[in-house]
Amino acid sequence: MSAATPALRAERSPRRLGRFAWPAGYVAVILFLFFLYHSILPSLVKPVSAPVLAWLPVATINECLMWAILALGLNVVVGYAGLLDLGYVAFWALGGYTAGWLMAFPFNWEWDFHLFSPVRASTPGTHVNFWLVCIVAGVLCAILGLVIGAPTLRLRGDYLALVTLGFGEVITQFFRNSNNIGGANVANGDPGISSIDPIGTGPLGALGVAPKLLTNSAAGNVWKILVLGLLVGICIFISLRIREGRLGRAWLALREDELAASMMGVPLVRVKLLAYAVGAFFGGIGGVANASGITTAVSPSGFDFGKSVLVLLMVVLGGMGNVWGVTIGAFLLSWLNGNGLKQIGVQIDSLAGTNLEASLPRYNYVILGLLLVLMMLFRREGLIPESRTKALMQMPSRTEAESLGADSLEAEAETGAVEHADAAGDARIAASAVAMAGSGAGAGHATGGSARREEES
Amino acid sequence: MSESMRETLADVTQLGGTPNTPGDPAGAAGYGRPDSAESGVDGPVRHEEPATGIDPVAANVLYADHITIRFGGLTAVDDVSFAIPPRSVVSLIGPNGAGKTTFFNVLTGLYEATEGAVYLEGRDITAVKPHKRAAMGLARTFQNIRLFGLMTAEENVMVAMHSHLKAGVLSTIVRTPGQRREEREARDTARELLDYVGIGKTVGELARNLSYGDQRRLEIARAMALRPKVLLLDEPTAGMNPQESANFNDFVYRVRDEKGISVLLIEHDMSVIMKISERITVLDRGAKIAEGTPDDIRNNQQVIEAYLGKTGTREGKRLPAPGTTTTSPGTGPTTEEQA
Repeated sequence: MSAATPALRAERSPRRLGRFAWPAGYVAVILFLFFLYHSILPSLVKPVSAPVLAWLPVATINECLMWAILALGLNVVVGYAGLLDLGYVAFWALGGYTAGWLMAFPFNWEWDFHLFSPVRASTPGTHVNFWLVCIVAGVLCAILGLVIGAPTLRLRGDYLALVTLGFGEVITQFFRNSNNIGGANVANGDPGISSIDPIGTGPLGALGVAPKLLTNSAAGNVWKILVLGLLVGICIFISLRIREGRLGRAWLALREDELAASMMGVPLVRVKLLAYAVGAFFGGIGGVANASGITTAVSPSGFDFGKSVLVLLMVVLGGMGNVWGVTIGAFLLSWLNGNGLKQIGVQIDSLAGTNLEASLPRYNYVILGLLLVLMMLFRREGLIPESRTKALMQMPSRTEAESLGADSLEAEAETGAVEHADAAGDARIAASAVAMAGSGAGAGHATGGSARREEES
Repeated sequence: MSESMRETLADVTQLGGTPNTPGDPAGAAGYGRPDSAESGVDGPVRHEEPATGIDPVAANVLYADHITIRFGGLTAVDDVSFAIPPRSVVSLIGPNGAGKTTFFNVLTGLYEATEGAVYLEGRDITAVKPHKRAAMGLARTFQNIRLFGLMTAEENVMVAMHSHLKAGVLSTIVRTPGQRREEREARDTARELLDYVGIGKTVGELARNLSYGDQRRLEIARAMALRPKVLLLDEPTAGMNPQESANFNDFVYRVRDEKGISVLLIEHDMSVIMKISERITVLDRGAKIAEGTPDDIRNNQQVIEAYLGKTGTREGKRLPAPGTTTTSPGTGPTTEEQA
């Protein structure tokens, strides 16, 4: 044991270094984007800065970051615990409305309450600090998650998906009718709540470095990159940490074999509820970020079923279970959905003289659906898959392999290797191809062994 | 330990005639290997032996009391009582469809018994959920291996420690010193267990990439991570060659002697069972038809009939004695490999 320990450590240290590559990359990207839009682009001449601003406006970056929070939350439920949730929009809505209740001018009640809020103290209405509202909304959503989950999580697979779909719709309908819940105006019904406080910058604003309030102005939007980037960072951090602990293991086990997990002492309902609650917590934060940072208003029409599907698409396309894949999936899809399609349309228009600028964004779900079909055909495991899922999608399991003939498996391994070589010069993929070829050889050996056993008996 | 004499239960099987109380090593040591036969009973063993005045609930690690399971009109298990004494290796056998696995599932909590009760270390666990039973020390393996294929061997074992670990969501996110220590200890324990079952080198391998034999070992390591009082093994030697299955016998004894865990085996391979068990219970069509030492079972007319058909049609046929290699006729599940 003592001899093995240093060897194991030595094995681990390169992995440790590799571990910081993604987080460091993320921080670098956020800081780069901030400085690009804060100081570099304004100083450049228009021909240089205009295309950048057209293809990737600051507002779009912020939207991407907001969607990433949601995708990371759904990833806990779908990617980690393997529970299909089609009503995730419910938590996003409740988060948004929490912001509406705690950070807006009054729509029904005359009650002035200020708590660390950046808005002027004379402003009427309830005004609570953005970060506090994030926590409150997260906790509220987690509780809603428990309430929704407790009766439904006993269901399996398709049934769970259907019930969550129903709950997503119920929440929207609740807010649609919220101007008269037993006579009380709870959330102003169809028009919703508008003019929600923007994010405050606290000490940075006081020092004059940043604007005091991050409104939807050019300066405000640039600083929102940092705020939302920080929120996404926190969500990534929490996702990664939980994944490595006791709960994360239980989720993975649950995803793979519910029965075996329960037989190993994993309390299924409790663990599923926790997945739901953590996912809902992120959803609540995403809701606040959206209401306060992006739309500054919430209304029921914003929380339709399509949004649940969009978040699910981000998770699936990005790579279920892989935090970085999901983040990138969210960036990509929300960019396409928000600004990318329009720009592609503009580009095609200028080349072909068509009029796609307006129509392409309207076909967003057709295009995203097509993208999903293509992904399922050519890269089922997602853009940046979790190493485990990759193993599942690309390699037959050893016991499966052993029940096949050795020749057919080796042939399969070879074709697999060719496909990989085609895909890219990615060293990791090449390594997996090598591993695959190796497993083919190993399986061949094992099959030989079992054949020998058969002969003997 | 409950001292109450349970008159109604006292009629149940006493094993080997040796009085046993939990935590009594002398009593436990009284359980000999199969060949040191104690109080051999001739002829069919009756379901109810004379009362000896010992409370079977208190005397056994696991005790199933008059279990009946009905699925609709079908009675899958009919009034079966079953005891696992401390530090013992006992078996449940029977032809296919005898109700072995159904009974096993009642013990682990997957099925609810229509009638009867299950006791673990004197506690009534009849209404306890499967995952709680597991946490209380009832560990099992699966007939068709059910590992978490996309998790590493180490993680598989660590999943089973879930109920022993305490870290909550917040302490995992913050990574408190306590949580770190706990994780480190869990990891060390997992490695020790993998070493114990002989697959220490596979720590970082995905379970699905292990060989069949190693997967079976990993299942046992995972079950042992629950710190079980009783280890329930469902057809553990299926697919093993004679050498592997001989090693397996030694391993089971090691588990019993070194860890003090009682082992229940479900098998339909007679040869394995005869060599390994101290005590055998035979089920046929849901009912217990015999119980006793391997020698008793070997000579039991009812068992022979259940496995080989009525005497007279195949006269002189005997179940294989240890060490012999007989291939049974079609109905018999014995599948001796010739080395």
